[in-house]
Amino acid sequence: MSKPHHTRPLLELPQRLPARITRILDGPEVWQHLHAIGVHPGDCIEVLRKAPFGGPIHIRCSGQDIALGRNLAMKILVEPQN
Amino acid sequence: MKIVLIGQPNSGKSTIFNWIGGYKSATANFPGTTVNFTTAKARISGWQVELVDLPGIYSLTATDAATTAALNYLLETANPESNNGTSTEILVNIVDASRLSRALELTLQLLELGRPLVLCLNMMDEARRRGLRIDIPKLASMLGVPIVATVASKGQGVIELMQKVRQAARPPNSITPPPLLPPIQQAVANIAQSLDGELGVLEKPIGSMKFPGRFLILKLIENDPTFVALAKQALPQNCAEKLLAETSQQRRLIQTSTGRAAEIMVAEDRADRSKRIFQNCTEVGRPEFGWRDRLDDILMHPVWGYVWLALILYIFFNIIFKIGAMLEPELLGWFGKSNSYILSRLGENTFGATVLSGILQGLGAGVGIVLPYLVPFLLGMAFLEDVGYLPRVAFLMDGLMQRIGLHGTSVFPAILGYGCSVPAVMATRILRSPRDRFIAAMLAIMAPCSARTTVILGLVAFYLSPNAALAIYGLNIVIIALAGKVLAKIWPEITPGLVMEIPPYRVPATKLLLAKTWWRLKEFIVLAWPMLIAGSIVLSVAEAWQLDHKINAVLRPLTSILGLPSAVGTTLIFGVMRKELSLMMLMHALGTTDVTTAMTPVQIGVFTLFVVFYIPCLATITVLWKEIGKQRTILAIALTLILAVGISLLGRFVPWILGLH
Repeated sequence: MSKPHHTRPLLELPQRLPARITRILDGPEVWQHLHAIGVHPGDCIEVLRKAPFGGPIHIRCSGQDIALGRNLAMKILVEPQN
Repeated sequence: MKIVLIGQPNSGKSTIFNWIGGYKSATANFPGTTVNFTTAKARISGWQVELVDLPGIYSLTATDAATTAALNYLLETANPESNNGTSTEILVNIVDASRLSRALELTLQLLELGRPLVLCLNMMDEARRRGLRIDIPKLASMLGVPIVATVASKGQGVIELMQKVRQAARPPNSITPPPLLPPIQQAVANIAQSLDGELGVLEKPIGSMKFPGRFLILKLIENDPTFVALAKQALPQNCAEKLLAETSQQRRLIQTSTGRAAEIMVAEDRADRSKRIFQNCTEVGRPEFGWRDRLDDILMHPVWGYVWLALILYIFFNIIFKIGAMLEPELLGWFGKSNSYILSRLGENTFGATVLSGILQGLGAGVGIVLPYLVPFLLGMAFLEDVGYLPRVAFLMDGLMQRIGLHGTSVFPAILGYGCSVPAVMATRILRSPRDRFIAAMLAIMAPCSARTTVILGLVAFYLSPNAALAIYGLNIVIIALAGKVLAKIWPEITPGLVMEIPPYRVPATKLLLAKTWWRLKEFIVLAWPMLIAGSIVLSVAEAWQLDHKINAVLRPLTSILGLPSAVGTTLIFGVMRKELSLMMLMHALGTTDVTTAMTPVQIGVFTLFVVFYIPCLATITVLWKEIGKQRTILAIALTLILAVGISLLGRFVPWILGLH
């Protein structure tokens, strides 16, 4: 059995490490917003890069590239995959 | 027959629209190009159709202006009535096949509308590159709709799509959407039952609404305010009350039985069904780690990304400068010659000669000044858009844009503003809060549009130096940033944070690039050029009747403060009609095509600064009025005027203080 990886906010996920979304914190508004663009709990997600000057992070979620603001990235909890 | 194109942003709707409808809709490789829907009439082998291109949307929940516009069309404007068994309106759901899993969520919602629908799997080449293989017959049978695979950028499959649409028009499809999750299915059934048939059959439209009862109930379980309002308005009062009461009862039930809010459950159910359909109908192989990823590593690099951005913009504007500067004197010289030849034949002092000279000046301004810069600019802009570079710019710029109180998405209106303020102001609709829209619109109108670029290039770059023109651009960016900071300070707001799609790089189709350039150029030829000519005639006549002196006298306080020749007063009035008029009128008002004989370099600089920043043109004022309201438009006019005077004064006195006068 593999060692369990601890859950952490997406923003703290190292670059290029595949992970799975476990939870989306905060109210329905944030949830719906993310949902509409195709980010759901259970999806595979990967951080490709972070923009400088406190800018967004570039993620790949279910094969699609999205730029996500850092506040939002703090509200997505992920668990790294092996 | 009406064909309504609907799909997510970037799925290629506008591209398909252009293939069929003849290049009237602008396509772009970034979210939110179509904020207003576009229609066109077309004939396809003798078959008359009307095409409607709705704004790109992700779901049927109205969270932004684009979705609201599309939803309103679907719920109100659309006419699903049948005409002896054939429907007069077909929905074509255009989907980016490479992102099928997510796109199916919208498809499932559209199926709930119970209208004839054809699914178009576009960008099949992209899907293949991502290692995705789609079993189309299986997907078609699971969804119960005809499916066509296309690569719209190359025109592949578009004819077949139209054939399928035509067939779909004949038998009215009866569509049964895939089943819902048990708790939601149960809630829908309970609500329908409690109303005891008052809603009629769930699959048929109810009351004055144009969609089935089942869809209404689902949207009410989601607590969608648009539909709550609609139910109150379209149903008899007691029926609506009963329905809403029963719905909130069921919402509570879902909450207690699943531990999740009902709206989340409905959305999750949809995501879940999409995913299951997707997994059933596709095989996912290894995606190619191709040149696209490597290109992103270069162009989105935290340091080099900015260097590339600066370099790309530098090259971009330099090419335009070079081409424009090469053509402008040639064309102007040729026009000047023919002008004096015609006038010498007519005799200078007749009224006819005055009018004709105005017409020639107007034509000359278009051919000699605007076109040499506008054509390469529009072509280059279309290229950057279609290749997919603009969202990358937004990604890099978001952190900086936040400091002036905006998101990276607001880079789009700003960048469009360099083309024309009108579409830029319209593009602010992609922003969600009125506050963001106002600030973005204010900043977008301050960006020098192509007409003002003409003035900067035609005056400063041509008579002073290209570097001086670049300096004006640099100053403009600084002023925009400061203005944004001030506005954000006056009007702070916590925004939910950026969520933006980054579409893959695409090699733009030449045909579409040219089409888009032509489409935007046509706006200039149809709207601006006649105004240019009319303005020139009016100015010619005004001059012959010496009205310009009166206008100049009225504006003398302004022109004398700015240290400009009083003859430029009229040009500023005409500049409000169209910005490029101010340049053409300047030559006219000064009575020479060589401005340096009448103005000093500082005066040329001050004049240009004033024209760049002052009151937006009439067309822009019209859209501002529509988009941000009367009060804010007046505020925008006042602010830009004050700003223009302030900056021009700086331009006048700073060189004097530095002893450069």
